[in-house]
Amino acid sequence: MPVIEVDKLFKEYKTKNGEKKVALNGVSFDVHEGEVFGLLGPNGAGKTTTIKILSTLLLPTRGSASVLGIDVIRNGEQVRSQINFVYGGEKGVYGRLTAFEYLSYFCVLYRIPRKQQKLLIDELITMVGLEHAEGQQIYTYSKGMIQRLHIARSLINDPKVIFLDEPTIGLDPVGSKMLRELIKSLSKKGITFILTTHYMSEADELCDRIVFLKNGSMSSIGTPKQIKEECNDLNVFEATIQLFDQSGLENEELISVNDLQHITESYKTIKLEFKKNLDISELENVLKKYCQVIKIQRKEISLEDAYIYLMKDVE
Amino acid sequence: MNILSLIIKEFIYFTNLNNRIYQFILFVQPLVLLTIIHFMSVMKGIEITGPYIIATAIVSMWSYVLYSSGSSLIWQKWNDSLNLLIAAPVSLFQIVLSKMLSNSLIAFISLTLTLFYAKIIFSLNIGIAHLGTFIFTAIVLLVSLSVVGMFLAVVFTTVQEVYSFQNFILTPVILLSGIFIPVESLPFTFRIISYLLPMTWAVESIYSGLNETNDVFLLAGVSLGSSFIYLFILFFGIRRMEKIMKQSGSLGVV
Repeated sequence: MPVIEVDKLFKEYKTKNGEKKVALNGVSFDVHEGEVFGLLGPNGAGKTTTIKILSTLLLPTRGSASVLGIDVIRNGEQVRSQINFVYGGEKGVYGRLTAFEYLSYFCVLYRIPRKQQKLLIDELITMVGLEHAEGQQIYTYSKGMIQRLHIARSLINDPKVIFLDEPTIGLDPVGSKMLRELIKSLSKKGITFILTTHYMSEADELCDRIVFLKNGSMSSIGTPKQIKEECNDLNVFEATIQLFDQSGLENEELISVNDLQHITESYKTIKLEFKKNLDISELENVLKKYCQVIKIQRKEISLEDAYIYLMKDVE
Repeated sequence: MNILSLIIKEFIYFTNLNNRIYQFILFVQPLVLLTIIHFMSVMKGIEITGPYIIATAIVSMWSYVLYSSGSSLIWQKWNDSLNLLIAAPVSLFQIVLSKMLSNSLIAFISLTLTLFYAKIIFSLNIGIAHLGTFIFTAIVLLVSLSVVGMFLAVVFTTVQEVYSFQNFILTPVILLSGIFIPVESLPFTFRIISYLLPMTWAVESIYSGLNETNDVFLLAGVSLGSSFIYLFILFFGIRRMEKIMKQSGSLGVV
C-alpha cells in the first residue's frame, strides 16, 4: 500500500486583483514507504502547493490526498502527528533561543513526555552535528546550521513522512552534502521523503522517483533513469573548440549551442544540441565551418538536460 | 498538563524584556503615571486613594498586553513559524492561549511595581483591606486581559490592516473599561460596548474590593463568565481563521 496517494489534486487561488490562478491542475501520484520522491519544476509549477496540501497546511479546491492512509483534508490532525516538514531558508526559527530551547519548545508542541525530552533533544542535536553550538543563540547560526536545526526539529515526533521544500537552498557544498547524507541515511531507516529542489544533481543523487510539474500539471514521472531515457532523442554533444566565426556558429540551423564556456582566451567548450539525428562525424563537419574542433564527444544526458528539454515550453 | 508546560515555555523563552518598549511599559510607565497623579493630587489638594493607584497599574498592564499579545501571532506569520505551529499536533487555540496567559502574567510586573513605587517612593496608602480578595480580583483581571489579548491577536492576524491601528485601540479601551472614568458616566452606546468587555467587570470588581462593597464576587463572576464566553467564541474563531488561511494559502510569508 502506498504511503502517499494523491488523486486529481486541483488548487485554485484568487489573486489580489480578484483573478483566479490555477496552481495545481489534476496532479496524481503515489509514493511508497522509504522512497525519496522528488517534485521538480520551475517556480510556480505547483511543487510547494503540493507539499503544503500533503502536510495539511493548505486545502485543495478539488481532488483527494492521503498520507499513511489518512485523508489529509478530513483528518489533518491525525496526519500531523505522523509527518513533519522542513523548508529552505533561514525563517521559521526563533533567533533569541538556543537550539536546545527551540527543540524543547517543539517537544511540548508535539506532546513528547517531559522525561524523554532531554534525551531526545541530545540525540537529535548529535545526529545533525550541532553539539558544539547547542547553547548558542540561533541568530548566531549559519544557514547550514539553521537547516540542520530544522532537520532535527522535523525528527522530533519520529515521523514516517518528511516533506522537504528546497532544503539545501543557499547552503554551501559541505552543508548540502551533509544534508544529503542525512536524508539518505534516514530514508534507509524507512522514512519517506518528498523533496522539492532546483538542483538537478541533488535530485538525481537522492530521488528514487521524480515527477516533473509544469504549470500545475504533471509532465513526466519515473525514476531519474527513466526520465533521462524519455529524452533519448536529444543529441547532446560537448566539444572543445577554437572559435573563429562565433556569429556563424550561433546562426547555424543544424545545431543549437546551449552553453559556451571560455577555457582560455582562444579555446572554449560548448555544449550543443544537434537538431537532426546525425552522427558525430557529420556534426564535426558542420562545426569545422566556424571553428577548429579539438575534441568532440556525445554527452550522456543528465537530469538537467532532461529538465531543460521537458520544460522548454514553460510560460 | 501540556498547557501548563506551554505557558512555562512561553514565559521562559518568549518573554523579551530586552525590548525597549516593553521595558518602558513594565518598569518606567508605572512610575511616570504615579508621578503624574501625585502632582495632580498635590495641585488639587486631594488624597490619592487605592483605585487611583491600581488604575495606573491597569493602564500599564493593558499597554503591555496590547503590544505583546496583539502582535504575537502576526509576528509568527511574518517569521514563517506560524506554519510550524499549525502543523504541530497541539491546537492553535492552546498555543495562542498559552501565549496570552504568559503575557498577562508578565503584565503583573507592572502591578507589583506600581504598588512598590506607591508605597516606597510616594509613601501612599494603597488601602488593600483584604489581600485575598485583591489577589482573586487581580487574577480575574489577568483572565480578562488574556482573553482580550487573544481576541486582538486573532483580529490582527486575520485583518492585517487593523494591526497598524493598534495605538488607536490603547486609549479608547482605557476609557471604555472604566479604569479612570466610571462606566455609568459614559453615553449609552459606549456603556453597551463597555459592558461587553470582560475587562470592565474585572476593573469594577477590583475597585469594589478596594472600596469594600458587597458586589466584588458578583462582578468577578460576570467578568469570568464573559471571559469564558469570549474564549468559547475564540475557540471556533481560531479554527475558522486557520481554515480560511489554509484555503487562501496565507499561512506563511511565501
